[in-house]
Amino acid sequence: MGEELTERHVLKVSDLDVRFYTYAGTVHAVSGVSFEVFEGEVVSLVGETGCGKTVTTRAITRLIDPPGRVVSGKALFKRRSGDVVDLLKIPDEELRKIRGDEIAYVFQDPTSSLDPLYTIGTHTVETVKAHRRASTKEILKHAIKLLAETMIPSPEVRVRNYPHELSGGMRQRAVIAIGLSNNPKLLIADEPTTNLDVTVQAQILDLLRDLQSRYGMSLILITHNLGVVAEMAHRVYVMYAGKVVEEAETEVVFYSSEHPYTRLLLRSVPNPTRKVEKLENIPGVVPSLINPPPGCRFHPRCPYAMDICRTKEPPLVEVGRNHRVACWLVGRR
Amino acid sequence: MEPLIKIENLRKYFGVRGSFTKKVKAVDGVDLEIYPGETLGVVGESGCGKTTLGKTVLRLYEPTSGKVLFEGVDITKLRGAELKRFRRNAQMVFQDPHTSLNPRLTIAETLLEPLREHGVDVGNAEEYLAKQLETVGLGGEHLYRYPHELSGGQKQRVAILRAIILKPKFVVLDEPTSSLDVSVQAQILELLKSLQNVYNLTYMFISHDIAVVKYMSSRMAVMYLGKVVEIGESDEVYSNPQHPYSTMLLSSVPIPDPRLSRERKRIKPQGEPPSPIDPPPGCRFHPRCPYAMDICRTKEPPLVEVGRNHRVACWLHFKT
Amino acid sequence: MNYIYKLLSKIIDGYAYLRDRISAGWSSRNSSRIREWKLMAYAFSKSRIGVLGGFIVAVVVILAIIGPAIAWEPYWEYRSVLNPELWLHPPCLPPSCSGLPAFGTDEWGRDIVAMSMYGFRISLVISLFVVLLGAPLGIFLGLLAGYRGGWVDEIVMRLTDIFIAFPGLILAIAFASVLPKRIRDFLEAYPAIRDFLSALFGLRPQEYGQLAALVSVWVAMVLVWWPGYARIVRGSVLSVRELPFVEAARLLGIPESKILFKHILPNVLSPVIVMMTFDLATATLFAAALSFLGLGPQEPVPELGFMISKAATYFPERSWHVVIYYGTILLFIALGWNLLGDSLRDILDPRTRRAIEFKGE
Repeated sequence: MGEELTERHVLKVSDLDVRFYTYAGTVHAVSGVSFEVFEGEVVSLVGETGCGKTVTTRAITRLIDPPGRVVSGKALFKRRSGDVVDLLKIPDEELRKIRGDEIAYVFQDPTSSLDPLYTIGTHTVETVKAHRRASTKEILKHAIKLLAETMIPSPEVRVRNYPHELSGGMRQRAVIAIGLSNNPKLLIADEPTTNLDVTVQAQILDLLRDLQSRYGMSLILITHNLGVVAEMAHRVYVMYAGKVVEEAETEVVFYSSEHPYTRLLLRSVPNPTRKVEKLENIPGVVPSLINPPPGCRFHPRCPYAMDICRTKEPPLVEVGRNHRVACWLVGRR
Repeated sequence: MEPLIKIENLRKYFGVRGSFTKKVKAVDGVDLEIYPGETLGVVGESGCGKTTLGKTVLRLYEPTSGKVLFEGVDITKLRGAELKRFRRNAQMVFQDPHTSLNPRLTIAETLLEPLREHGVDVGNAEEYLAKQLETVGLGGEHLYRYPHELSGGQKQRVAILRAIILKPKFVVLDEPTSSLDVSVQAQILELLKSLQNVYNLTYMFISHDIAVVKYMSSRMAVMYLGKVVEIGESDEVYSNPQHPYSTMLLSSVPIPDPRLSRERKRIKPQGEPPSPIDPPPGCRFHPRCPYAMDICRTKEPPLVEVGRNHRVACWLHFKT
Repeated sequence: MNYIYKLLSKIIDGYAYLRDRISAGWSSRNSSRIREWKLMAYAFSKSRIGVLGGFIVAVVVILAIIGPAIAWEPYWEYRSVLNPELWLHPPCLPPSCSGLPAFGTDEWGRDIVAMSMYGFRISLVISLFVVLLGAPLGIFLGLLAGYRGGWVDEIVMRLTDIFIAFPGLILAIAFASVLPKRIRDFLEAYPAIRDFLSALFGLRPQEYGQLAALVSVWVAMVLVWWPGYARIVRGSVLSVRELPFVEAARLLGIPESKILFKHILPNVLSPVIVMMTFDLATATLFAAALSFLGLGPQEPVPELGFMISKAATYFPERSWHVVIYYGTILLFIALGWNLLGDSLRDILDPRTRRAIEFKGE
């Protein structure tokens, strides 16, 4: 991959390697992951527990604490000014300016993202003042506008509420509103709706899509829910055991995936629109990343494993437009 | 066929801290029948009372009023040895496998406890437990491990084994796969299905994941704010929902199919699931219902038949 | 620091070997438990304050055990009567003074270092007694209050409030004026108990009068000590009892008593153990303080706090060495337990101990 960022690039991560040094051994949480995000698109990182999707996004903004360490990799980010910086290498002060301003986070549990001692308004004021000069009054007005956009009823009242006075869905909406307060270029949402009711989830997803297109924001959506991916994402990266195994546009991933893991995963999810179905089973368990299996990390569970899969790791190869797969079944063509 | 479990007008209220009169009406008048060998799915969002229902049916919570008839016997009145006997017949699998096993006990100790408590003679305990572990897809090597050494799926298998080790007739499954990975979920669901066949179990499958409930259950009940609003065969309820809430709920479920997802018409959910402390008068759904009529604001609709085995509690469908 | 881990690891292996001899296959059945112990040993060995604290505590305990046996001067001899030069003699080193204790003497002309050999034993025994009796009482009440809730909880908690608010000092004073006589009579009537307790404290049976004072201090302390445990156990129980595995046990028909002791207690014990360790420091100091105020044993018993109190009359000109020496000992005892407790807190929490960075060893 070239080093340059094109016009439409917002983020380009290359060869990210993150390890955790624990008593039990070294956990290879992320091994050589690369992905990119363009302007105005929704990119989804999909995978199960331990695949590294959360660690990846935390690593690029240097939120990994010991015993974890980013061992290598680049995270090129194009700032609003047009400058391209490597998030992993810039000084702390510059990174702090970017976090919360140009890159915003929404985590899974809205309750733990909000300090119970401060009102929503105070949170917003804090977020904005950290990056800009503005009067408290102005910021509060802006906050009310954002809360209204996130469909919180009576926002002028809510802005003075404490987190515990809001329901789970409203809290998550408030977190999104706070995240948007500085009009970020990139919003990273890590399982933003997993803890929420289905109807609330539908509202939040609609909201994210709407805001994303209105503000021209890019969205990295991390989830294990394939239904959410189908609804929201333009492009999908399927991750397994710390590596990207397949990347493609959403429809391609769902209808013409090539990696055995992707295909099995799709067939193991109940689809209520199908009348009679038998769920496919992926035998075995996600491997321990302390001693990842040699060769292709999926080979112990893969029904098509060949000799080469057990010894050599397959590289990501192009199999179609914007479609890459890391599998010897495909790499040999 | 006689139902295995008959729930009559069951209510469970919780007190609210700091108030003598306010109550959380978690379950507020539920009538249900569960037939032997079937899986009844219960779906709903937070606050609908589905978990409370499951726990009250098992008498983990004392019911505020109403009856639960197990094989014709009202178990809400049982005490002592009779209650203990009921416990052998009705068990539960909890949602979070990481907290449903005592972290200080080995798997062997966790499994041995119910056997010892109910005086089941197992001969050589080690051999017996090893064989039991095989029925849930584990092995003897897991006997002396601690829960934290097992994966989520493995822990849930142990929890399932603990629930069925006394050979019960009825098992309440409370979101058994919600905390698990997608691929593991499929394994556990298959396991539950095969165990049901082998041991002739009756399930109450509670979940907020409608796709999973539909997959597992022959019949499905939709709960809202402590009451059952619709109940019928799963396929029928999913493809032909009659209650406005069911329609809203089902159309919010994300479908793992991009094209279908786009084509589907979604009823935009209005408002949020309210708190069960002060349910609205009349039909509880009326503040959010696009079809609310005058009668909905004042009188609660009863469950009426709208099709074969398909019942709805909605004035829209009430025909005198 | 690795040597400590290697040593502890060998000890654990040795223990496993012994258990294997008793019942075959023990180590394979408990391999997980053994691994956890080794992980705890590793975490301990990596903690500098833990090792330091452990070392200090080890020295204190060893001295406490062998102290009275190796003390080179008996505590009951009033030496300065025969040799007035020995009265509060300041520290001196050879060659300027030969035959005189290097650290100095006290009012009785006794070598203060030799006296501290007895002092270690007395302080350790009393602090251990207070904690080992007060803790279980508090734990039991906390378990009951937390699990039962309702009026049981209210009663126990109000009781706890009363006892916490009660000034331990006043209670100790009250006890010190009433109990010692009774206990003394009791000990006279039961010489076996008297001898046993004396041996425990490293004293002669003749001092049973002072022993009675010690015991009354101890009783006063136990009564003030249990509420802290009740409170923290109750708090932990409140959260543990909501956990699904407790519900599962109820569902299986397990009776409440078994649930309390098998499911709840083991899961609330870690903070209690840490608290007990810190408490050993606090109890040592509190007992010394009570003795300092004259509520504990009197001469000739060389209790650390009492020695400081006696020296206070001549402080600072003539007795500075006594005060500094015994004060420092108390400081060390307390420091040792505190450091140990601090590192125990991290070791006993399974999450923090697993997160310890493994520096490529």
